[in-house]
Amino acid sequence: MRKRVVVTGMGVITPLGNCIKDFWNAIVNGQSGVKNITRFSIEDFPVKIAGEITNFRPEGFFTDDKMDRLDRFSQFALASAYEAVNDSKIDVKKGGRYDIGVVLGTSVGGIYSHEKAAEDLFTRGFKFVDPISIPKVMYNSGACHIARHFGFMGPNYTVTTACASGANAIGEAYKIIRDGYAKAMVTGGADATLSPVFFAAWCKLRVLSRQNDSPQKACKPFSKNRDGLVVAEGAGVLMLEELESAKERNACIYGEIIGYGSTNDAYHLTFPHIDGEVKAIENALKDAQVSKEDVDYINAHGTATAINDSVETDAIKKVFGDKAYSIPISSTKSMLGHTLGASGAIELITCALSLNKSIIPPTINYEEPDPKCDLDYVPNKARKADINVSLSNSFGFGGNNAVLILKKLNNDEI
Amino acid sequence: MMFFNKSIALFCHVTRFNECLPVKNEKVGKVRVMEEKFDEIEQKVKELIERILKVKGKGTEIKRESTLADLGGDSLSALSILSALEQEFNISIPDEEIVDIGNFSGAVKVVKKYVKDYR
Repeated sequence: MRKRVVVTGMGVITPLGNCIKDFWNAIVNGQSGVKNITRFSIEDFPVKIAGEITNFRPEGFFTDDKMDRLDRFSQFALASAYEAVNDSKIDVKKGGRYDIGVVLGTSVGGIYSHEKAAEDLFTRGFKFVDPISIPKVMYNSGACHIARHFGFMGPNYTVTTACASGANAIGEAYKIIRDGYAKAMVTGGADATLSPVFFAAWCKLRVLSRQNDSPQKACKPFSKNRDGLVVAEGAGVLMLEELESAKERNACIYGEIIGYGSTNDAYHLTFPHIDGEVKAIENALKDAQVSKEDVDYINAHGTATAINDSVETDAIKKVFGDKAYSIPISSTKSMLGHTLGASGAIELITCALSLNKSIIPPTINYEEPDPKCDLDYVPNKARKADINVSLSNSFGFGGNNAVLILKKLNNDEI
Repeated sequence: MMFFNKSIALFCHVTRFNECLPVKNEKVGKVRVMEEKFDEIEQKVKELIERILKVKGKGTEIKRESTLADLGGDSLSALSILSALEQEFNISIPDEEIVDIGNFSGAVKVVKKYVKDYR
């Protein structure tokens, strides 16, 4: 029998705060976490801004003296998991639990450690390659560190579907609980994207905003004057749990994951296609057994590239018809930038907070209406709204689409 | 020639280190007495292990008989120590010596074996 899956804990590391409370306060107030890059020299780079995290100290979270064995992305993952696990108050038994697992999403894993090892080899020689590079670089290291730290010995794997990684990870974790393979799953996404070679390669793709002089206004999803996405780093982690076991231990429940849809465009490596996106949304609605009329809020993929925002708008219109015009839609990326593999998770967390606080965070930097993007994007100011069902879109390079649907639990269900 | 220079560099470094040791502070003075038991290579290996295992401030003193486990290290720490020894002394340590890195005097023995070869 299909188990019901609820969210009982959440944690984030973002350019707008390293805990749920700070993050939520910032996005409700429409703040931007985009700033000038300080992590490495960007002298001859055309893009000098990003959603950089400048106040993260791993030692502030852990007393573990081996944190230098973790790539920055794993540190983000572990720190967010720490908040999510504590928030859920789940029983972390000594000796471990086989009924709790981890599925994490990441688009580039330990890219920084990879680049560092390459630099050491090419500029200093073989002797200078860090012997811990492999366990730092490997994509599954984030998920494994979470398992090791908390003793979560159940199913454990890592999903990598570019910008949809976080959403796909949550979808897969949801299926593991729904089908009875685990009682609870730690899931979400993490990416430490600010590494020199990787960032240079992003610049070369020519999809980044070049508004270097006004970083906080750079990311303008759905606005006619948008000029590209802003790369950011971060992590979002959720504790998913079987409804019955969450109720048994009187856990605080943020909402129920009721639907997941996942498709691939089979079209182009970097251009989206409407058909794949439409089918992913339709599959999620079908899985959730709700109608289009039930959806109260859409957290858009909303990257602020010309093509993403218009194709996403078309996809929403194709699925929802006239109803599309009355659904509030907002882009969390307008404030954080694009945290790549973490974005799907951070955005589902945004949906969960919206359900619980009855506030929709805005799409900031919305300045000029675009005839190609003519829906309600909750421009510039947060809005009060009773939300029962929210939907979160994530569309990745490679044509990977993942859509999640979250529903408020009624009082009689708790 | 390169290895000869490296030996000189190592020697100079250690000399400089001894000169820099503070003597006024009584507590530090005591440490100095203990450190003086170590020869140049031992002192260098000690510093390197202290740095990698972050021993300082934990109230743990590295002694000749100290094992990696005593100092809070594991097999991955052993790899980091091996790599740092190779960099510091400009030597190549073969795989079969890894077992000896498990304790302080073993690590020193391995270094002395290969540094001596190069001299």
